[in-house]
Formats: sequence, structure tokens, C-alpha cells
Amino acid sequence: MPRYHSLFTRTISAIALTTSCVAIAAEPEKEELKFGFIKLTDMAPLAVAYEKGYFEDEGLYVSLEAQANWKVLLDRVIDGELDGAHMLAGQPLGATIGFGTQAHIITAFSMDLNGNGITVSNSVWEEMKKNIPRQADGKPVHPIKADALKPVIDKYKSEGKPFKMGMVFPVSTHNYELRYWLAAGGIHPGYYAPLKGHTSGTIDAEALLSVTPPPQMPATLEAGTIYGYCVGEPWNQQAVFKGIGVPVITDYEIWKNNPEKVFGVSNEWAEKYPNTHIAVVKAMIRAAKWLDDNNNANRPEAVKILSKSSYVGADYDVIANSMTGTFEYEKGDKREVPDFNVFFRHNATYPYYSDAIWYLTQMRRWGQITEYKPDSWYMDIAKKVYRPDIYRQAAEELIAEGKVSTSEFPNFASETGYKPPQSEFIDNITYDGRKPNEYISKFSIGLKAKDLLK
Amino acid sequence: MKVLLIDIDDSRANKIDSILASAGIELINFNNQHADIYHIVGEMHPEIILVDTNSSNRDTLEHLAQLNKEYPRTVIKLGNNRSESINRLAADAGISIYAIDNIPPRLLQSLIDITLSFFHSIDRLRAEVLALKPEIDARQILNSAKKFIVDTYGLTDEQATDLLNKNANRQGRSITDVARQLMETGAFV
Repeated sequence: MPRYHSLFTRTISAIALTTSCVAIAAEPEKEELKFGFIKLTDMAPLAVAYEKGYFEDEGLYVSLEAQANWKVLLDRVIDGELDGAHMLAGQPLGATIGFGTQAHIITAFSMDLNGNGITVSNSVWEEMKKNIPRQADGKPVHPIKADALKPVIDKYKSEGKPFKMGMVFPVSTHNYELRYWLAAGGIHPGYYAPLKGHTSGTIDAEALLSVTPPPQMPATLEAGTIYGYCVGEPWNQQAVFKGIGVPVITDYEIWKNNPEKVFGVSNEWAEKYPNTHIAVVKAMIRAAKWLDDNNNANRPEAVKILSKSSYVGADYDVIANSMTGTFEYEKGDKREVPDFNVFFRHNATYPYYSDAIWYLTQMRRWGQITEYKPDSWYMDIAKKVYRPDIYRQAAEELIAEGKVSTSEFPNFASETGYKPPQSEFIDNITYDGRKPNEYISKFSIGLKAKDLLK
Repeated sequence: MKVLLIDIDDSRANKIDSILASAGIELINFNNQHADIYHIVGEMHPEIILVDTNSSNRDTLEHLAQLNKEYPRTVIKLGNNRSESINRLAADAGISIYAIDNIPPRLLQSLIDITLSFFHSIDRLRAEVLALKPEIDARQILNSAKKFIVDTYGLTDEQATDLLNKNANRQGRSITDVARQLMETGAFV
């Protein structure tokens, strides 16, 4: 049934378009598609595009399939079992420069901004709390810096207990955000040791970071294997609901409106199915817009969709806690964080080169990229992986079809793909995507532009 | 040589174990979702890891490989060649393979082949059993229909078969269909 419906509407809109517009939707080369995702709330644009019929409006018949881990998700996109997937921003970049798996993966769509948090165990929180100033109402002053954690780590160290924290993948946003926050508070998260002969990847580490799958974070924290973690939702709010940990900071407070997941496809797939790719991006732009429309008015409906077991499969209340503009820190300390999850506003879906370069700078800072690379290298990789040109075609078709308006997008004619220098980081260091090496050298903890691990 | 199995169920692991043990390979089977993979790999120093393709521990193995270049990492190629059997191992047996750098490609290839052929024979058996199932079901339904007729109407086994056959002929349906309908509705039509 839906197939007929969409064929019909497509014919109508095609007639309307031929008379008036430059951007005409071309027939997708491939109609039946399978996309992968990980059970996290920021897969929402995929679920919404599916549930609201936006994929069908583009003549696409999509199935969505939850994947068990980030590695298998990437492998399946590479070998063609999946047409595309909800990916960590570092995955297309990491694969393209050859970490783990060498494959050219691209993205033409950023899925969201912010959405992560750092949670510590109850006992660590009790210790941390002593180092945090109070507001007039007795609640801790935010944002909480890792400075408050440092004495706790020193104490653990003196007792011979290595301070372990969890994150989700070596090239995940969470790894870089957790490292950023720790380092900004004077805590060294250790370097990677990609050169053979190094016996430990925890060189210089004061906090030992390990990978734990997101749904297992709360249980691992409860078991005492780790003392804290950085993860996406609903796994921070889950800790509050279960009373096993306290979220101390959101990534919005570490770097205001930081880019999070992307929608990744293999370059080979994109070259084979260019019209299909544009159609997919169109559907996802509409989904993202729906998610943010009228000041998050559709979020309760989105939460209902996400709570289904085929998507995130967590309780409505747990997902709603962060998706509807609030975030609960210590139990009962629920604060307004309207931009905790951003899907569309602030040009959230546009794939900025400067976002790609920020991730590359962090890979370099922590030793995943082993040696000095000139600024031009960073820009070339960003250009190879991030594809605002494809995004632009999708957006212009939607504008021509009257589904979105020009004002909701960057000015494509003048947009360079580089955001102006940003300084809303927790350590107030300014990031200019055009000067990656200068940026890398600004940090007191981390490799400088020309440093080599000895 | 030590091979670590992660999240591969015991019944499967036990069988490969007996084959590989005869070649002098020590197999360590590890099947606990909440265990600390860092600790295990650090203590055991396995040279090869076979892991369920869908195991959530795979993301941890990726991290381990980055932390220490002497730990096993994903095998994508055997020597300089792309190996089709690695993809088949994942697609058919649901197993992914990790190895340290200096394991000879020939050895890895044999290990993959052994594992694959073992799982293939299991899969073939399973497929054969599945193919038998409709036939077994049909016999079962026919038998219970006959028993029902014998018990309800006091007919002999032969007469019951005859009755089912006649109804099947008249309705142009298979005897199994008629028997199934009889059992579900208590009537022939």
C-alpha cells in the first residue's frame, strides 16, 4: 500500500516541479535500502524519517536494523550488507585514514549536536562534591570541572587503585570529550601507542579509559569495574533512575553545540547511487527538522517512537528525561538544558569541514595519529570524508519543493564549510578549523603539533 | 599457541576444542558478557582471538588493539591477499578473527578453513533436520486425526484412513489439510 501512495505523490510533485524549478528530484537508482544503527537516542532522525513516511516520500523503502557493536556496523557498511548507518563522527574519518579497517567512508549528513554526559559512581561523587562550590540554593555550581575530580583520583592513586573510566569506542566522540574534560582539569588520560614496541597504551595515564558497550555502562559502574563513564543517552539518566551514579556534566557544557553522530555510507556506494544518496539526505533533513520544530514540540512523540524495542527500547521516562529539554544530574537536581539534544537548529545537520578537523586534531593530540601532519592534510581529509556538496543538493531540492525554507540553512553560495573560530569550550581555548596545528599546540596536556611519542 | 574464544557458546566451542587440541592449540573459552576483557587479554596474551561477530566485546577488542600494538587485531587480509574466507567466516559462522602480527598467514588460513568446515557441517545438519520437519508434522497430524476418528466414532484404523481419503478427494485437498482441519475445528468441512 505505501508504495502506491508514494508513487502517486511523487508523480504529482514531479509534474509540479518541471514547470517551475531548477532542482528536480531524480529517480533513486536503488529503492530498497537497509540502514544500521546503535540503540541510542540520537538515532532519532532515522526512526522519524521511517515512521513519518519521509523515506517513502522520496521513493525509498528502508528497513532499519539495530547493530550489536560499532565495529560490526562499520564492517557491514564497508562490505555492502548495509547501505548506510548511524555512525560515530570519528568512524568515517578513522576508517578513511586507516585505523583498524582501511575504507573510504563519507558523510553528507550530521545527525545531531551534543547529547552525551559524564557520570561518576555515587562514592566518587560524594568525594567530588566536597570540592565543588555551592549556589545559594545549596546545589552545586555548574559546569563542574574535572578539577573537582583530581583530588579524588590522587587519593585512589595513593591507595594503589588505578582510576578506571569507560567510554564507547577508540574513535568515539565520548573518548575525545572525556579526555578533553579530564585534561582541562589537569588529569592526564594517557596516550595511545600506535607504534610497535610500546608496551602500554596507558602511557602517562592518571585515568585509565576502557571501552564498554553503552547499554552495559550502568551495570559495569555498579559492579565497580569502572568509576565513571562518558556515554550518550539514555545511559546517563539510567544511572540516576537506578540510583547507582551521578551525571556531573553534559558535553554541551564541555563544548557548546559540539557535533555528534553522522550518517555514513561508503564512497563506493555513494558513487554508485548518487540520487539515492540525495533522497536519503532529504528524508533525514525533514526528520531532523520535525524533531526540533516548534521548540521541541514533537519531542514527546519522538520519545514514544524511540522507546519501542526495535529502536532504543528503554523506558519512556528515562528517554524523556533528556530528550525534552531537561537533564537530571544528582537525583532531584533536574535542570533546563534545552539544547541537550539538537537535531536541526544551529545548522546541526550540515557537515562542516571544521567539525571533521576538530576530531582529527584530537586523534593527533592523543597519539592515534602518530606524527606531524601539515594543516593542508587535515583539510584534505575533511574534504574527502565530509560532503557538504551532497547535502546542499538535497537541501535545495527540499527548498524547491517548498518543504523547507532557505532561512533554515547556511547560505550555500558563501558557506565555506568552516565555522568561525569557536571559544565556548570548558577551558576557553579557541578553536579555528583552518589552523589545526596551532590549535593542537595550545593544550598543556597532549601531544603538540610536532611531538612524537618516545 | 593460545586461541581465545569470546562469546562463542560452549557446545560449539567444545567441538572445535577437540579438533584443535590435537594440533597442539590451547583453546580458552570465554563466555561472560560482564567480564573484563582487558584483564583477560592482558593475562593470557592470546595469539589469536575468535569472537562472535555480534559480540559487544568487539568494540573493546578494537580499543585493545590501539592501546597495544602487540595485542591481536582484526584480520582483514592474509599476507598481501584479500581473503574471501574471512568474510565467509563472519557471514556463515558468525565469527570474526583477530590475530597478533607475526602469525603466518598460512596458519590463519588453515584455522579459518577448519572452523568454517566445522560450522558448515553443523549448518548442513541443521538444514536437513529443518527440511524434515514439515513431513514429520504432517504425519503427526494425520495420526492424531485418525485416533480422533477411531475414538469418537468407534471405527477401525483402516476405516478412519478411508474416511479421511474420501473427504480429501471430494474436496480436492490433501489428506493432511483435511486432517488438520478436523483437528482444529472438529469437522471435515
